[in-house]
Amino acid sequence: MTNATNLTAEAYHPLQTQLEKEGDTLLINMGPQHPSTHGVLRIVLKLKGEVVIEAEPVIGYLHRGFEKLAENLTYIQIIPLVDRMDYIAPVTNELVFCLAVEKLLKVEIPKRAAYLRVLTAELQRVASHLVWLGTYGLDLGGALGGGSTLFLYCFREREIILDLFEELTGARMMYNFNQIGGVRYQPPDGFETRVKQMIKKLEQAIVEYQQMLEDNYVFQVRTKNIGVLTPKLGKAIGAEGPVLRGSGLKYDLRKEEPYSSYEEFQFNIPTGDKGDCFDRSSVRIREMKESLKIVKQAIEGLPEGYISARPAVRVAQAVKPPEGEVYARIESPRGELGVYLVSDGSPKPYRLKWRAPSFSNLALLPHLVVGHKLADIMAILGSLDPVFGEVDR
Amino acid sequence: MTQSELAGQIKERFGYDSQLDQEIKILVDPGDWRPVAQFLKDSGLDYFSFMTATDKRETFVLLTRVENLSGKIAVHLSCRLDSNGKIESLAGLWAGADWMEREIFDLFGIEFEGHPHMRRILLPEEYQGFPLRKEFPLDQRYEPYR
Amino acid sequence: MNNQAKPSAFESIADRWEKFPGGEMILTSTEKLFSWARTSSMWPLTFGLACCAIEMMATFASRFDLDRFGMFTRGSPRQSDLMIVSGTVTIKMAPRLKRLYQQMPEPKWVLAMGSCAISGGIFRNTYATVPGVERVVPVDVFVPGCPPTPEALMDGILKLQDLINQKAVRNDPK
Repeated sequence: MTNATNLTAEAYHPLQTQLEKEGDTLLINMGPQHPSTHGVLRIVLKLKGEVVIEAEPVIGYLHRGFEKLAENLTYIQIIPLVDRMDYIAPVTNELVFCLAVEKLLKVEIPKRAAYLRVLTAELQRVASHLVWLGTYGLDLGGALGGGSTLFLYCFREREIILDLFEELTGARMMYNFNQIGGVRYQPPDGFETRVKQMIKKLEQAIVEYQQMLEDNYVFQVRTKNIGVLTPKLGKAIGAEGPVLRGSGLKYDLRKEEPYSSYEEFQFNIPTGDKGDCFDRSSVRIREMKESLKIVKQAIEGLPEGYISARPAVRVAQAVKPPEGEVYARIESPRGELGVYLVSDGSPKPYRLKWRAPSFSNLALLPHLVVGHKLADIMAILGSLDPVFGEVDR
Repeated sequence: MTQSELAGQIKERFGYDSQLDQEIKILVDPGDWRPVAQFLKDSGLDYFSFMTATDKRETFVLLTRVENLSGKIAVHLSCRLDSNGKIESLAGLWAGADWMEREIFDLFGIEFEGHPHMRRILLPEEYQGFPLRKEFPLDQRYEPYR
Repeated sequence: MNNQAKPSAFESIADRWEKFPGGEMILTSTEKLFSWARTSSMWPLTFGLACCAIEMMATFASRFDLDRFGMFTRGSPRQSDLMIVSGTVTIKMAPRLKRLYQQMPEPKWVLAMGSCAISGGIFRNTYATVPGVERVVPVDVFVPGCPPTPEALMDGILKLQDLINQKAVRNDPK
């Protein structure tokens, strides 16, 4: 439970700071616009000197009414909408939504489509972790204070991946690639060579970044023993993904409940041991390497065949799943991304619940920052890697 | 323990039948919401996935999903409430229920008794109305911005 | 194409350029001089709201570097003069956006990036979206796209620089 019961209603005025009568406790606001909050987050902090006593995140600054809007759109129309939830890894959002609808429709997708889904999902995982790494450098170092080195390097590598996506789907960010029944586009000629070139370049780059970070004394001091998460608290809150794997629990949905033919690929699950920010960062960097292994296996073993089990949709109202409810989940770069779908037989969903991993990960923040200094809040928030499109939906 | 064992234990203690497919689905009365949840937590289901509500026009259906990661057991616990229903909060059992219940209060108006700080979480504090109810229009006005 | 050398900055703003034994003299108008200073070092406020923020970060990053135009982001509104509204403006965020705009010193400009900032975008009809940031602050340049590619954003910024040079911006501090 968050210990925010002591913060009074007056704390919610944006620019009010207030000195309390007992000693030098300061109530301060870290507002929705801040260079390091990864988006629109407001944290109301109670500080004693520089040590945090209580913190309460205030969210909702990007609440766009997605779940209500989804009840008014047909299933085909929801796929581009769903891209904009976790906007750093759009393909995974489309993937989980299509998996949920395909479960209701009881459709089997062809093998080629499954391999293409795995290929794009893992490429997206690498791109998402590169964004995380770049912005983590900015958080820890500041834009003009040396953090932008890592930022510029990571975004340069990410541009290579975005070039591949642009070849495959036509867009740099919102792809609209996964469709109900398969995928939408065929890879063009020469795609395999370019993917292999990219893999070679990125493998070298990731080794370089790992040395740059993990052997760096300043990074170690800023992240070791900061924000230690016990597996018990992580499970009770619902955190999963690199956050929970950093605490030592070896649980990955790609291995536990394989979807879209993940059982045919060989890869390891990196884990940490203590659960501090250093372990979570190291888990993500090692995950990037494993994802590149999967990409290599996927592109080399890509089978021939159709890319979609259903004919191309001519009428938007054509997808009508039978009545029922289903919960589908995948391993997104942030954790367990799930879709709970209730259908009543019409072309529009009756209820679409988006189980966002960042919502649960962010609920950990008040528990993890207590006792740390003000500057450590950014290290902890960065290591939780929230994306506010899916926190607020 | 396996799925059928857990379903059997619930049947003997509380008398509810469950549907078994990929997860165990149980529909309970509002009075048994917290006791069954406590029993599930004591049986080792310590991973709290999500809690949500569906507006079925006459009633609300509240749904919680909890799991045991290593044993691969998942339970969908649901319960029917009427529009002014109140129900006990599960925030004392799983820390993740805290924000999920605030979100359900914000969007549906269902109140949870015993929740430490029941406040709106996604919409502005002074917002009137509960958007995800079926009678609420999608493009509701909000002066002066829309 | 054109084989002449491009004019340097001084040549482009100077009405008359004289060279004396002791030095040089440029004759120009203050409008041209101030516009040159303003366009060559616009400092945007880090105000990424949603998905467009990622494309804005990509525009500031290695491949489509904006630092060569003299722009790097400042965290505080008191030190910035351009606000790039990138992402959906919601009803909870709108009063804060207005307050940030009021805290920026003159001269200041607003660039609405992406469909959500221009008109609410794909979320226009929901209960929590402000349909366009024009309802909150006056906007000078609209850059369409969902999200606009970095090339499009750079085009929008260069267009803003043209507008400043021609003194055609909305809130002209005269």
